[in-house]
Amino acid sequence: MKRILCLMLTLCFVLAVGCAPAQPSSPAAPAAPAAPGAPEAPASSKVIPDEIKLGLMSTISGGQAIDGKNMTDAITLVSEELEALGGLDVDGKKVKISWVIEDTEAKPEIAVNAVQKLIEQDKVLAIVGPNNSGETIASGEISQAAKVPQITNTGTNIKVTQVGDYIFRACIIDPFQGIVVAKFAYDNLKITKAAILYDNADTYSSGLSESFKNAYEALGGTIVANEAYSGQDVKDFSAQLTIIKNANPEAIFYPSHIENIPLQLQQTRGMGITATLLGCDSWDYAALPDLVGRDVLEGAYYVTGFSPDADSAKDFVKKFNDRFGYRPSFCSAMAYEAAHIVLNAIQRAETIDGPGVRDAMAATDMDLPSGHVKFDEFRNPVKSGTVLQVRDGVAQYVTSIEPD
Amino acid sequence: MKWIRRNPEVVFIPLLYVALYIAQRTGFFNNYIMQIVMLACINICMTLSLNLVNGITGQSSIGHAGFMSVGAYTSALITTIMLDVSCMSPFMQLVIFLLATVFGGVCAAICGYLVGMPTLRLRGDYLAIVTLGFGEVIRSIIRIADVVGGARGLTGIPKLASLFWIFAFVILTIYACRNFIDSSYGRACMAIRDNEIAADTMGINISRYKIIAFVLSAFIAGVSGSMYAHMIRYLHPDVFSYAKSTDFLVYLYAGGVGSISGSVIGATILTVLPEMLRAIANWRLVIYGILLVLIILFRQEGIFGGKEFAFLKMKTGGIQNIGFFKFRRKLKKSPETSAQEEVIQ
Repeated sequence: MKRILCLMLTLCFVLAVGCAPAQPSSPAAPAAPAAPGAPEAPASSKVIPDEIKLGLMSTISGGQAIDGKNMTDAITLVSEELEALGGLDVDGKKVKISWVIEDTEAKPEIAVNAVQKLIEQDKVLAIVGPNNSGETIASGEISQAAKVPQITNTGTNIKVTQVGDYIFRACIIDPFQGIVVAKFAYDNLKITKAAILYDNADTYSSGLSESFKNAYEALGGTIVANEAYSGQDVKDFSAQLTIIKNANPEAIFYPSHIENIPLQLQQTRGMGITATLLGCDSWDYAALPDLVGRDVLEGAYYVTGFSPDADSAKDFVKKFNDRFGYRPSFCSAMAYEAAHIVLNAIQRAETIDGPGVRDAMAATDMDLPSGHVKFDEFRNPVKSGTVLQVRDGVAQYVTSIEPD
Repeated sequence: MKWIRRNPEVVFIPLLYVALYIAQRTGFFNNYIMQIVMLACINICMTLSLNLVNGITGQSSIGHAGFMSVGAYTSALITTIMLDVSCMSPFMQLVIFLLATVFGGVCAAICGYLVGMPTLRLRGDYLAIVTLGFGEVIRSIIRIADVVGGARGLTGIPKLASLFWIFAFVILTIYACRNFIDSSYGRACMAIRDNEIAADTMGINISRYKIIAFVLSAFIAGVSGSMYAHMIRYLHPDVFSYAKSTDFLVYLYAGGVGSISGSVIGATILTVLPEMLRAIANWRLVIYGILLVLIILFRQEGIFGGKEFAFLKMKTGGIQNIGFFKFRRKLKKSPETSAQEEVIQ
């Protein structure tokens, strides 16, 4: 018995001495020679392939399946638009764009598998998604190492684009959203006492609540109750809401994922709390008034990066509504924009490869449904926040708040 | 020469590694496939660790991901936050990684001891509830611990777990489990599993052996956690949720509870299967679920049905040795051993 183990260990260690030092660099190795090798050869003339593969990572199953569907629908619309045109026009040549769609199950490790598959197996040029911050951070490390540009539609956490210079986002960032809600509540609604109900197990939710709290207190408001619950599985918020009710706030901010919003709002009104309801971009889902109940949601405000009423969005909203039978949510709109940012970058790119498309994406300067889009040096779009109010079951434009 | 012919695994296991290594180096297996191979290895270790508690000792731990998260976070804390490994020489990186991994395992083992000590003295299913609670407590603590990123998750963990270390760790775990099961400790644990009162009467200190098995299991889970952290390079408290613990339980029961080979096969097949099913997109998890139901309906004893690969040379535990380098039992067929075998069967 001992002899076997001893011999095996010595053999393994002999191999280790030979192989181990080279090992840590090996994951980057297959990607590294391919990436710089490609642009050197066609440096003078742009080589345009007949077909370009793009990846989409979306939560088709799992806790955020609604977002996944909204997102996949938006990409379906994009590819149908392209089909109608006969392909993407790159320097006069029609290029076929095919999308490879992968499920992330809203789990970071599955997202890592999916991104590996997209990059290694399908050899995609760029990736759209995933739709939440945690998965984008996890998968971003891989795309960054492989030099494949990745753009998340609704990964609003500030850390997302800090992963590296190949990671972009199409939406506004959490700190800014929190500031917009705080400014709107304090300046426009003249509310001085607010409460927060947030999910401390979630990156998005805790990030938003923090930025709202800081901005609101800096403006001079008071947070009378800052209540947390843990995880998407929580369905009963009565403990937190009782504390909030006793603190008697004028407004309550709900920075949670769409799945939890209906129950939270219904339970709030069910307890007889009459405070103004404030929301974030996850609320931007056309069926929300029907899910929550129109009377409950009446008069609620939420901030988002996209207003379906804006002139620039009319065309997109109509097309989307005709095709899928519902008004596009923020998630769909951002997926649509992310896809168009990538397609536009491919048209302008000096070389059709990761670094070329990345550089073109960083220089994006185009009109999209949410308005004019440009990236700042941290690859976050410079956009204003839009405040909407739900009246008669439809979200209507109230005001825009500019970034300072 | 004769000795090698009798123990061909001494050659074949390193050969398997060399084959994997060459496949990786030549690009025959791309990073995506290697990622799945390594993930399968880590799942094998977790399943083996769970097998020690659920399969061999007959206790039920249903929060094993909790121990994994302890190992993952403590080791990542050392390599990522306390020491900045990126600017060190590869050799120092390796030393720190291995020390951090062992430290992660020890922390998990300490947690296992603290959790197991009071509950394993009792008879019944208390361990299930306590491990379940432990997993949730750890997850909630990590969420509010800002030093490891809290709910945002921990990013920027260096990629130190290479194929070699993960592979070596799997082989070590397999042999450690084999030796544990074949030792007097393992036999005592199996006696406890089969009949606690009889084992007690025979003079086995029940709670002591249960705790030994549980702490060893927690240690392996902690080390797997460290490997996981340094392979995926991103940790999030929700990764180690109850659903993750359930995954390992599924691997164990689908593979064949109580058998090392069953754990290995179960974890490998069920890790690779969902990735192979990616071709059918939306129906992926549906088919995966149906296959699990079919396995349990038509093979209650698991895919491997409690059998063991012959190269493990199990003296106890496995019902039957099959396949992979025929192993003729060199045991003297004494009346006791054959009687024992009948009992097991």
